[in-house]
Amino acid sequence: MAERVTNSEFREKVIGHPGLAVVEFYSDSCVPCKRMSPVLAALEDRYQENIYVAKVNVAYENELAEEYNIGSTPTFLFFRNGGIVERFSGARKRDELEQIIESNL
Amino acid sequence: MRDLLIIGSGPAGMSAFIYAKRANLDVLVAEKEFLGTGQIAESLQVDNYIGLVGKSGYELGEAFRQDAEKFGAEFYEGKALKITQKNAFWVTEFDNGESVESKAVIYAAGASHKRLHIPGEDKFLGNGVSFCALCDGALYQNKTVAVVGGGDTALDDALYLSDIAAKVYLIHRRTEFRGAQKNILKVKKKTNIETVLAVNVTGINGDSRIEAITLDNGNKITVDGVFIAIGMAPQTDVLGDIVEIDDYGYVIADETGITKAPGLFAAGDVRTKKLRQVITAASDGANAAISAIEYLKSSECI
Repeated sequence: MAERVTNSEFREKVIGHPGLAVVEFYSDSCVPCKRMSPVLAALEDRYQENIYVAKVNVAYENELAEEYNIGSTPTFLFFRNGGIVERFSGARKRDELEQIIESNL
Repeated sequence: MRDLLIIGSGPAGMSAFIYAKRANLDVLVAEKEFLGTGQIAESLQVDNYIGLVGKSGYELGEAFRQDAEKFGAEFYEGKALKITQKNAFWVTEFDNGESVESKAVIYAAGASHKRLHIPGEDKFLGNGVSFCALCDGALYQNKTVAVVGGGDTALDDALYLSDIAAKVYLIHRRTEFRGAQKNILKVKKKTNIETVLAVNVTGINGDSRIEAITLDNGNKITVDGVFIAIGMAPQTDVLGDIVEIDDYGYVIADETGITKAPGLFAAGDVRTKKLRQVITAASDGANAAISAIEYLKSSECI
């Protein structure tokens, strides 16, 4: 399960993660977010040694949503050694996500 | 070549798939949205589908899809752009540049949110312009938003957002709201909802973020987000003139789904009918599948 991180943990767990971190900014009532849950879980299983998967609930972590200019949910940010290497909004296919991960590992 | 291409993975498409598959047709289901289940997914709760009252719309949509998957449904990701008849079969072109050939087509692409078609709408879509208050409302804590529309969805959105945002402008082009009276009364009681009537929004302005909207009375309102709730429109543009379309964009077809074009059937929200609900969409899918099966048999395609 992707770990839910709060504003206070974000710097250490995501920015400070050595390697690739995938963060989903989500909201509870968002349909495409629900659809992406099993996809994220599958990615986490497959790349467990190589990626860190985190979720940020925009209803509670408003400052983070502001900081990263989140305009809709879900929005996915890919951090490599603390820097953003990719971002997109909306549901995507598992193999597209795998491609992004593979090219940034 | 497939026996049948079903365009749409909502209740009509999924129901059509099960009937067609049980008749041993070789069926492909095309969907424009990855893992889509149609508009039902956005319904908080379904209160009028017998046997399933109280289920969430999302769960119901997933259940339809999972049932189709049990029958081996094969999905194709792509938005249909053009459908043409070539000799005795159909060619459907998709936005990925590919095309699919089939002996028959069931068109069940449903309806989508109506757009304002004003400057700034496309630019800020997904970044300040939203069709889903429940999804994106949380991003506007203590901010100012506009809701555009006058029906129950617009009223519900304004009420929902008024508990999150500091201020909600509810903007409607007519002098009275169309929604239920109880919703209108609730809106009137909310001190942070300001209704703006008899005006049209003519533009959404801003640099990297929305800063304001302009109205056709010359006024400008400073907002951080815009929620559009002006209804749904059938997705029938791609059919061109191969079928008959009424003044509102619906394919003219009765409950058999049979259209002017032999071998192309319409099901669900895209066709002319009185009641557009999940239950009638599922029923349409079944009927259209039977029509397609009969068509394929009679034309000895299978």
